[in-house]
Amino acid sequence: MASAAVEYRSVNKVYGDFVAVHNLDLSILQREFLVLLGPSGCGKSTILKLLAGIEDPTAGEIFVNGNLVNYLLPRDRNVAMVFQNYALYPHMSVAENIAYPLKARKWAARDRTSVRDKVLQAAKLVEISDQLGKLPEALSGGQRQRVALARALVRDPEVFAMDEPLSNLDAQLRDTMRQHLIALHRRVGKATIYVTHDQHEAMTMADRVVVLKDGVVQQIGTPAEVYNAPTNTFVAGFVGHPRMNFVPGISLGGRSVRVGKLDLQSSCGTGPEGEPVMVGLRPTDAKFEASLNCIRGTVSASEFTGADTIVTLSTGLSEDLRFRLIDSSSCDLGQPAAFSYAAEHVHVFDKGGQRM
Amino acid sequence: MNDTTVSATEHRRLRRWLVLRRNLTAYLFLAPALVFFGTFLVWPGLSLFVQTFQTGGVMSPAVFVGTENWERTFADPLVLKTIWNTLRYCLMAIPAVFVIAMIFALALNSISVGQTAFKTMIYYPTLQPILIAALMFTFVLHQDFGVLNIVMRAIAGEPVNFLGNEDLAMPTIAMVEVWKGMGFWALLFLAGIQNLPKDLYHAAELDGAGPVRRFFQLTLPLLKPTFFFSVTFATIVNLQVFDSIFILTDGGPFHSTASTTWYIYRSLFTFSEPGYGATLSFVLVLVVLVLTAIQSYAFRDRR
Amino acid sequence: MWRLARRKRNAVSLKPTLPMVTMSYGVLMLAAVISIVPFLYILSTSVKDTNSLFSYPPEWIPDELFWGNYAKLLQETSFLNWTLNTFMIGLAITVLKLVIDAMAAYSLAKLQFAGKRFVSATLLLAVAIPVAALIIPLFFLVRSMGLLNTYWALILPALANPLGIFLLRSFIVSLPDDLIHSARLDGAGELRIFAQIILPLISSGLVVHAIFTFMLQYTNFLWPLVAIQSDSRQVLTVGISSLKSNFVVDWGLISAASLLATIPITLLFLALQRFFLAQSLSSALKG
Repeated sequence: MASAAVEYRSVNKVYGDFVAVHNLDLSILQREFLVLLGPSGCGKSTILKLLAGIEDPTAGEIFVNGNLVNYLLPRDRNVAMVFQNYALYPHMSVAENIAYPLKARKWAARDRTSVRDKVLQAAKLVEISDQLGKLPEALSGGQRQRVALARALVRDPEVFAMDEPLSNLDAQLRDTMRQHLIALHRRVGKATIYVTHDQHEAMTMADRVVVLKDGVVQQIGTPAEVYNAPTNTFVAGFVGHPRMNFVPGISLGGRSVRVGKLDLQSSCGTGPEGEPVMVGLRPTDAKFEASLNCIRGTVSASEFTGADTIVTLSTGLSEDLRFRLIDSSSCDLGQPAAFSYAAEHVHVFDKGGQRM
Repeated sequence: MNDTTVSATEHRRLRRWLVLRRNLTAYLFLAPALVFFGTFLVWPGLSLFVQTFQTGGVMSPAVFVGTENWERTFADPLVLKTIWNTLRYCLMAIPAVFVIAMIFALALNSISVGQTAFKTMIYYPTLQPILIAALMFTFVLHQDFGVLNIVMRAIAGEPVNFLGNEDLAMPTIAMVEVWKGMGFWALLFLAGIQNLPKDLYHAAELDGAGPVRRFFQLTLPLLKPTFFFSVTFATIVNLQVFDSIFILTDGGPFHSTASTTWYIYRSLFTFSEPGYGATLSFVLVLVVLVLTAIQSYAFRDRR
Repeated sequence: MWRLARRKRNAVSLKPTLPMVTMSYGVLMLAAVISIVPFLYILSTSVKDTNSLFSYPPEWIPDELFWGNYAKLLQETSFLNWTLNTFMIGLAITVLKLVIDAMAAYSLAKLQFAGKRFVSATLLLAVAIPVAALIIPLFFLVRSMGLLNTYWALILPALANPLGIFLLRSFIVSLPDDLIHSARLDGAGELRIFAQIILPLISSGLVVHAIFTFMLQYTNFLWPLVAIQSDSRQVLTVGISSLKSNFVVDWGLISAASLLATIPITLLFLALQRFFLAQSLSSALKG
């Protein structure tokens, strides 16, 4: 592979006193589906806008296919963007919307039939062929989203940039569109940067995930890497649902920690003996059994979700802990219960929140 | 992974080019407006200042006379009188038109059937040039056959010479302007009232506030932005009052309706003294700017 | 649906009481009479001959309609010229100003450039300059350009007023930025964005602006009085007022002229009423 589809080199974006993006170094590979994940205000949308040319970086370089694009107009960057609010032209029909990138690039004057073919092809790809004559206001949210996608597709760009494209859809539609987007990405095979604050979306769609906080990259990795080996408490807490339990503990040296009165074995080092640490336990990694490496307490609440039950346990620690229980029959309110953890599921972080 | 490198100088060059291109685009869009703005507003504004130190220019070339115009302006009692007349007129016309328009707006707001028809009728005088309003009122006020004097005759037994009376002339001018302006302001206020948040009114109603209290405690304070715009706009426009005076009284009787703009016009066309007129114009600009500044200060947000 | 329900609830709960409604209708009847009666009055005057004009008590509807005033107006005065001039000049100004102001408004609303704050502050400050104060230097400027007593003398200075830029700017500012970003990414240049995206989306703003500009020109009096001397090139306002400055005031003639002059603008008003009465006008001007 000659070069990355997109490369950010030491990119910074500062608005007055506010640092939106801090020293970003990031490469997006050809054909890769890369997800920028983070809470609102973390700078993920700014990273997209820098790529698209909507914002100028304060410092640093951005390359698309090896070409510096910092100083190119948006139109010359070969980047297509799908906006959160779709940004469809409200006075143009669906077909005119999809054709607009071709029209604006004076394709229309060159070859009328090929514009027609391209529009039909793009519309077919996103399954919107039967709506071509309508105005955007006559479409549902999901249909508008498809039109926005078709408008991006029709240009055949090098890179797709998508800014929370599913956040305005209802839950069920979001599921369908997510699958549709993944399938579309496989067919088109172009590098895609996808911004979202929804960790579920990130985990299910991404080839690689970039977790961001306050303009700083926290971790880059495959969904599995980010999930199984979060580099710090922020990533650990942001990725995975229900949220990871964090309990303060004391390192016992080697690979064990003490949490309250319990000792837990971890598969990672825990630092020098006596150091305070933070122990992270995912509710979903718990086994409902009393064995070694287990947390004991009294059931104080249980939420039945259908497939499983989330049990809240009072353990005498500062916070109540939550665990996932696949079978709820044997766990009653007010009863004692114990959940055990395999050593590789006991995450240990130092005082600063970094993974040990 | 990638061997592209761009030197720092190249970065600067490219960056400058990008910024230049953006500025150029923006100013190209502004260019037509700025050309006309510069030629027909800024330039006359500057030459106005120069002309205040000149005399002649209509038939013969203009000559510099130093501060002579200014000295005459300060010594001329008619200047003060025109400023006083103009202010007096504003103090009569603006509050009157605002109160009447607000009453119309409130009335329009509380009806639903026939609202458009009433809006149309009330707005109708606003459509016509003030000149036509003024001419109409010449008939309406006419001593012998004006409709208002027919009424006056019935009430008081004798007609009133509205425009020939020193004390009544300016109020009459104001009345004409109010008649023409009331529809415009009524609709503007109505729009303001209808844009107010309704939830507050529900809360006030639950608190037991009657319609009068609701108006003074909610509507008026909430309409402050509308009022700021309205008062400023009305002041700027009304300080230039000319058309109705020119048609109805031509400044008389005994200069009791001579406005500053009327004096400016006369000094150019009747007295052929553009330099003196320029000085008067400059005074008018200052009066408007000072009053606008005071209003902005009075209406500033108190936080 | 939700909005509808909400509006309904408001209407029901805040419904004015019966005495208030009655009072409101009373006030509005009076307002309507005050607004309309003067027009009826001149209509009545315009169809009377000089004798019945001064009859006492006056009759509202004369026994015999007299059309002589209208005939005299059309035959012996330049009334038709004035009307034509007014509408031609008004149309020219409106079209030119629409383009000029919309372009400037787009630049101020959505483009980034050095000196933006200075430019908008200067334009805004100029809104407070009384136009009447500029007639003397403007008179000399137009005279030195050799344009005195031409249509250009009325058209060009009218293009300088920056108020319309701010009106259109407030319409453009309310368009989402992403729409413009999207168009830029789609490959459209700024001129194409302006023509194909911005203008169609602010069409109601353009109509409000056009009406405002036209009305301002239509009612203009002082500047045509100063800049135009020839009777045949005069506009309606000054033309009609010149009918009065004869020794014997011909009330019937002036009435006929005033009444005829209201007709075109009334037709325009009825056609575009929605925009004349639009709430957008006030909200836009406030911005």
